Amino acid sequence: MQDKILEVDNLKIQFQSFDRRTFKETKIVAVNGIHFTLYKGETVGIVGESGSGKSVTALSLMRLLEEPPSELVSGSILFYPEGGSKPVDFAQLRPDEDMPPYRGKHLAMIFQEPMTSLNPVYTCGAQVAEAILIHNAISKAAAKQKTIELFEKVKLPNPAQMYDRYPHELSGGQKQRVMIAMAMSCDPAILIADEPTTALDVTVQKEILKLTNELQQNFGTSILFITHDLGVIAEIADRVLVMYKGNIVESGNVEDVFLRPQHPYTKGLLACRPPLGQRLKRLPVVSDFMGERVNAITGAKELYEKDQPNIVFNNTISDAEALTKSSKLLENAPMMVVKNLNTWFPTKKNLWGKPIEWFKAVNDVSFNVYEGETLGLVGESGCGKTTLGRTILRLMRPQSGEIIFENQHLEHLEQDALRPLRKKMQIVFQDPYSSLNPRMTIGAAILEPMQVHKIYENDKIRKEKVIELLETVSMTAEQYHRYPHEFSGGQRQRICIARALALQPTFLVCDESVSALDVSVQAQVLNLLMDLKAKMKFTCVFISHDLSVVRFISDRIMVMNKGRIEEIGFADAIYQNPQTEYTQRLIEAIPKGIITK
Amino acid sequence: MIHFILRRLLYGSVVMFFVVLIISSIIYAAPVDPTRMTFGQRSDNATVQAKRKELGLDQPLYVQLGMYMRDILPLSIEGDTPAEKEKYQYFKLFSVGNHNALVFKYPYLRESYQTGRRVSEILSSAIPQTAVLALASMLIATFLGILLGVAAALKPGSVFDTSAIIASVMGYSLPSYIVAMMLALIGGYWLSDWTGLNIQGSLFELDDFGDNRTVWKNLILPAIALGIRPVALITQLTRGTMMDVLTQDYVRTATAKGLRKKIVIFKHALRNALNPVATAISGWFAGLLAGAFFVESVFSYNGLGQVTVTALLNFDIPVVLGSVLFTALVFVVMNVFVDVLYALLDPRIRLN
Amino acid sequence: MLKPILYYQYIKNDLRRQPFAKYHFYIFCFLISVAITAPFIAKQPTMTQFLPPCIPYDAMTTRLSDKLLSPFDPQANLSWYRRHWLGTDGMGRDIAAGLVAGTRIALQVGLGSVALAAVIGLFAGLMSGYYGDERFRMERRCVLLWLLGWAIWGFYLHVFAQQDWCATQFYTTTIVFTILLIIVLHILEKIITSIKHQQLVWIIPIDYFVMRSIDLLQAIPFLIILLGLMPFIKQKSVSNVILIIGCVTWMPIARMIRAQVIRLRTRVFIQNAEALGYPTWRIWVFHLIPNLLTPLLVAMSFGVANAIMAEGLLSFLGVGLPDDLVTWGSICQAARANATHWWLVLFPSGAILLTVLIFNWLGEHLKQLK
Repeated sequence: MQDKILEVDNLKIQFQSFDRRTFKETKIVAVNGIHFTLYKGETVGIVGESGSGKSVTALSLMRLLEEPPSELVSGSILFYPEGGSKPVDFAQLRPDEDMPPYRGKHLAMIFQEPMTSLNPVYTCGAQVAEAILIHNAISKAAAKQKTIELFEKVKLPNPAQMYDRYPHELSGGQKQRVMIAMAMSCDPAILIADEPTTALDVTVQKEILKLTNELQQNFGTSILFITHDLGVIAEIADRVLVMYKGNIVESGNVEDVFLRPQHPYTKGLLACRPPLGQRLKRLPVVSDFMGERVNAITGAKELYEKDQPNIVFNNTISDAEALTKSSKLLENAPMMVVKNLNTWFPTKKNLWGKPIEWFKAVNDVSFNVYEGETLGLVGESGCGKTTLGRTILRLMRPQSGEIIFENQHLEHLEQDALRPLRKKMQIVFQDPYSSLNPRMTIGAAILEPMQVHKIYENDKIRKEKVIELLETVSMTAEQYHRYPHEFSGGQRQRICIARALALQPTFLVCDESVSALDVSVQAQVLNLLMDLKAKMKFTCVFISHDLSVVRFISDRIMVMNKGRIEEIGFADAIYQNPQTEYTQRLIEAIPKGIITK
Repeated sequence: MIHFILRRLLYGSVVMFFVVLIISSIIYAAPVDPTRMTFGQRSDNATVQAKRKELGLDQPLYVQLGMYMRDILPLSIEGDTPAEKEKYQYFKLFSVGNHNALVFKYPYLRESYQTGRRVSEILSSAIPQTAVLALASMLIATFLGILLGVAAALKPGSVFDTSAIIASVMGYSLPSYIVAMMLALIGGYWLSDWTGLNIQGSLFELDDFGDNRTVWKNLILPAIALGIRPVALITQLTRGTMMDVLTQDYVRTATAKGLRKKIVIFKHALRNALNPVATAISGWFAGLLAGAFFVESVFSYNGLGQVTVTALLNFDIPVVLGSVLFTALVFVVMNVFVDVLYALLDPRIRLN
Repeated sequence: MLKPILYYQYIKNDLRRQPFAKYHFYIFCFLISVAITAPFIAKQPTMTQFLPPCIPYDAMTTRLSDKLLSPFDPQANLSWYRRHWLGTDGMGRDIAAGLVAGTRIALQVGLGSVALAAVIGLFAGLMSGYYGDERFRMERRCVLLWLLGWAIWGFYLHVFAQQDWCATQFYTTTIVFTILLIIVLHILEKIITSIKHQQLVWIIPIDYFVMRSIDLLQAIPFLIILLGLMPFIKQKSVSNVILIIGCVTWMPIARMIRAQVIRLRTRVFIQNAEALGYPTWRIWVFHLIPNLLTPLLVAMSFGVANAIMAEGLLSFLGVGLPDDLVTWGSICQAARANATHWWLVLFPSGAILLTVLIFNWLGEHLKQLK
């Protein structure tokens, strides 16, 4: 029997919040009485979407939540220290006075955003050495030595130099390694990792996961890994807990949960990721598997399982079928031709302000976009795909090159001349939370483009069209007068799509439109895009860093790296037979683990 | 870094040049006759005209401006005669033409219309007093303000926090002369036996034997009066930045490392919160110098503010311009200092 | 369909949560109503009127027989109604009536100058923040046209400002002329640009220019500008004071608006508005300004407080406002000579303090909104 390290029993945490519309204080239950156990040397993954309570659980284990808005209502968090002494109940301790001796020494934590997790005014080395000095009575020089050793262990380049560097001089991946070094510095029994790789590129993520695995084997730490990415869990975890709205709906070995899921939510979550091995017509969504209803007897909300529709059969598209469809699109005339496009940003200017050094975000790029197709644009962060997307719509000025849209040269036009063209080219941005004017109702926001470009005769007709659009994106007419802050991220993204389509464009660019959404919401929005594309027949350029999403929705894919195009080809061909080394690396880095689908 | 400072200084000199140009144009172009102010209504035309000619006030505007600019620039071309040398006390670099020389001199600020004393003398006796006053009040204000601001930020929404906000709003709403008068009355008059402070008096005074002595007692009340507004503003600012910083991720990381709350606050949070506060304080310092007029007036403290406004009301142009020059200089130097300070405090700016 | 809710309802709810906000707002309304009804509250009672005024004295009437009465003096020969509850000044004018009249002037100067400063500051901040250093592109011929327009306007000011006109006439003519000039320039610009000719496009770093001028103007101490510009104003009048204070205090507002616009520009809905092809004026009016209103109101509240303090200072020094006008500062001025007339200082200073405090408090409450 393995040794127990942590036992959480009936943990319940709630938050106070204030509803702006009804003007009342409410209490929201974030974690609703969960149980789980953590054993020595194992990696347990907690998976769930936003609002599931996984981060709250993680923070509460070390009592890091601010007590006034949050409240630990009931439950116990039993920690069994090394050496078999009596377990300590963290839930009974006072966070500020009694918890510090345990933090860092017995439990350590790494967070999601490496960019802001390190103090910008102290050097990296000083911050890690501080962590060592708190719990060990050694000299400063010894702590410095130990820090440099730690930096070597986490494979940071130039460990001795890295000691004196400031956080803003490091990349995201390097900062996360510093955080790992800091966490492992006192050899803790438990390492809690709260979405540490979500903000990193997929290749960097691979390295970090490899690192945590190695460290676990060397130090014997138990890891509690929190993420929304099932692929990551499959790669590194031994056991997994699935959380939904504050409850653990399923737990068990990774193999059992992934291959033989019991709870409908788990089934839905596993099914709604775009698969890499095959092409689907439509992504299953969680609501295909699970629904909510009010129990007639108890009056409480409960989940029930739906009979699965026939989504497995007739849903896959064979490779041959996809190839014929995609090739047929190439027979049309190209809607947009891009030749030798360059978008450069000045980095250094001389005395008179003339730029002498440039950052080449888009470097000699040429491609065609054919009518009716979906062109996927993939790459890691900083490769220039967003800049390319903005440049071809002339939201940015290219340095040189040609952009020919429907036989019209766009590169020299000024904003005034471009205005009438905006009816035909549109964009949906990434961040749903700031894409809508907070002071404008969503109905007015969708109405406005129609008013500006004077389509349809009068406002009454326009308003009807707006309601039509809202219903097309699965929203109701009565939400016309609501403000953006009353909607969730997925709903806001749908409103943005409705607004982009209000002008009936023929060319749509989706700039990481689903990247900020949860997996199940992402599936819904992707299905929506597919439906709209079939209905309204526009040409789409889909930009994303997520290969599986791009593969699902695109006919052809373009891979970008450091401003240049690495590879262009049919979607299936790129996955099954990547030509360039970069693409191969990219595909290999996608975490799959036990999922072989 | 040197590059950075030099560029800032250059920019500052340009600003100063333009500031002085604008102000002197306004003052010289004003349709008020200073000589009338000096002599009053009773003098006859001839004397007034003679005085005007002597002061060069009958020349057109651009000539007057040119002459003034020449006087105040450290590097200029002056006549190479003993009388000029006496007047300007310059250091000759080399000759230009027959009678002139390129010289290096202290800026010549001319003499006051009212008293005839050299402006540089008037200013040099008034400036140190104001400088000490401003420094003292800024020190008190900073110390108190940061303490109160941090304490208020640690317990948001509490009674202490709300009363700190109320007190700070009162603090920066009170016009300075009311504060000065109240303090003068209470501290210097009604309670004077107890506190031993005077209701009026400057820092540097002539005692009965005609020597200069420094009376530190006279600094206390004016410094407090002048410091009330900065205390209020600093408290508010510190509270705001501190509350902002406490929500940052790196504070959570520091807590997760196992640091006690006090260390987290003073070592990690405060260090970041004080960056904007330090730069704001330095920026206000220059304004403090210029705005100490009321306090000085109430306490009869012979400082720069009093000198300036009296001169302004009497249209004593050289004194006004000399004072403006000094203020602009302080402002420019302070700006450079603030930029450099910001770069020193925040490593992210340093490597630009 | 749901009834539409205006956004300001949320703001009202948020404000109601803050302690004392309601009371501050009531006092603010009280001050405004005193200012508006000033001539009716404090005037000489005549035989034919329905409501006797609260204070049966006009701010200006002098009664030399009753000069320099303290509130605590016997004043035996006066009824309760006609008693000088706050005393009289050196010319026998009732202090209470003076306070009422002063309220009107203080609020006129305060609100007027801040309105002017806000307009200038908003425009400068929007131009500077929205266009930055690289985004303002204009053809060379249009730039030259606008420069010509500026020169004409400057020339007009130079020539016509020398005249000894009455203030209001001068202001109205200037405003009309400015509007006409702008309209003419726009029409000319449209005509010129319709001539299809490949023109050189200049990039004008607007941000650079605006920020430098703000730096320059802020380097000059406020007091010095005020007092230095006073002799230029031929006529002492309230409008002139409003103009001067307004033209000198727009800088902090412009700075703040610029910072907010730069922050807003990174938010996607502005980029979306540009992508949807909205004209610039529309983005400014419907998207930027509604989101800028709260910070603008905050800056304006603090600005009113500062303007009222400046007005108090100016009338205390006897500069700028007409000599016969009774304001809070001018009542204080009489106390300069003799400090024992405490009621001449206490009540007007109290009035200034109260007003300034209320506006600062309003600014604080608005600042705490999201």
